Amino acid sequence: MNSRTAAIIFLVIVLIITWILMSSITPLIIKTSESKSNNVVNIVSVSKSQMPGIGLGTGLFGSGFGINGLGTGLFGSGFGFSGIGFGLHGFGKFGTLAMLFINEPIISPLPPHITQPAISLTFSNALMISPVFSWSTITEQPVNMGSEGGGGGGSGGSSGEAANGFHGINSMNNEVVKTVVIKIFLPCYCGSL
Amino acid sequence: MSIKITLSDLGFMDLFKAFIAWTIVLLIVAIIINLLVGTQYATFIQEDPLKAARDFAEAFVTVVNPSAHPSTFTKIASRYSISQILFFALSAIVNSILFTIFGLALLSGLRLWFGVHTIWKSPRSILGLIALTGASLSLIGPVLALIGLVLLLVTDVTPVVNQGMVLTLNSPFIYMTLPFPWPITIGTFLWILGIGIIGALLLILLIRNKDFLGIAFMAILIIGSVLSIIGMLLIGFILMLIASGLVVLTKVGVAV
Repeated sequence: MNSRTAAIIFLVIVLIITWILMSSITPLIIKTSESKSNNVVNIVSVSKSQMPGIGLGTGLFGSGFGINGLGTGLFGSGFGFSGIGFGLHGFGKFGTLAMLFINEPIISPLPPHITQPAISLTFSNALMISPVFSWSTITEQPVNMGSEGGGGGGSGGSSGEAANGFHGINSMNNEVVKTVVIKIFLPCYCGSL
Repeated sequence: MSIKITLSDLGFMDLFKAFIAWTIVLLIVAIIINLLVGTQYATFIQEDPLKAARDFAEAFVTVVNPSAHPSTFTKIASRYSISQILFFALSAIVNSILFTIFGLALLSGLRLWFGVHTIWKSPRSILGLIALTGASLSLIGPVLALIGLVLLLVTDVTPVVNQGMVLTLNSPFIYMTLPFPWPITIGTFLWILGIGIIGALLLILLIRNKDFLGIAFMAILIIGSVLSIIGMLLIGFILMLIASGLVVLTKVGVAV
């Protein structure tokens, strides 16, 4: 084996590993606490198989940009491919962490009675398969009202009305969204800015 | 010049210890599911898998870190009528078990990384590079899991569950999936995947050396890791435990 073949094989291995990691990484979301507007703002959606876009922003309307998502958000409307935005809402406020929980099969010699087969293979809840084919496993409709293909723009607005940029739904991301009750975890310095 | 390195020096002794701990924990979980969880839970889970999975996730977060979730904590403690001190003691036991199994996995990954590094040094081939990649994966996995565990301990984590739980008690086999935080799940997956990759490389080396006993053991190890990855976690861990134990006992080695 010459070095050229070795290099090509190495690149293929790196690509495969990167694909597996990229399809399995799920963002940790840091949420803003105490937004005053409606319930839509308080909804966080976690997109599997997408990298987080960290929103940074300033100003009254809280325009922000993420790694792969752009958005301006008084009400959190955004556009872009994907992304999750959060605004720091001044300084000193820090929200809870939302973490995706993935099913881990403990004992499954044969999956006997699955009511809704996820994919028509014998391993239906495999760790590697479920993030990749997540669009085909979810049947429940999402509950937020995001724009099509929306990315998340964060808003770090200084006014009290500045909202979170929340993550919209693109066409591939039809998964269940949980409403998060916001808890204040660290002491806040409201009105300091 | 070729030196023979036994696989237990390569890090399979620590792997064996980690497999012992993991298999014991998985067996305990299986026994608990068999004896304590009744059929009403199974029917409840079958009726609404998503709600059951979310309840389990809330309970898991609360058991790991009770002080950050006081409402769920009091709810669980009043429902099962256990005192709060007992709940904290159970939480400490669960945390210590989790830290023990992932710490043993981290130790085995570290020893395997250094062992594979010694193999990789003598012939710098693509196989050694693949083995080093596998060892790095099996080192990254427990680190990721431990980071997730520490995050659960120090912050207020809201579980996001989007896939239902499956639990069947009436069949001859139990089928069960539990929702865990993604660093723990993906970390376990990466650890087992790295072990499978290392086993594949060592299988190639053993085939070159015509060590048929070692070939058989390594095949059992690879089959166990593949079974664990595609879902049969308990059976895969039992197979990997048997394979690594036989490797350690029979002093199988490779010539590098």
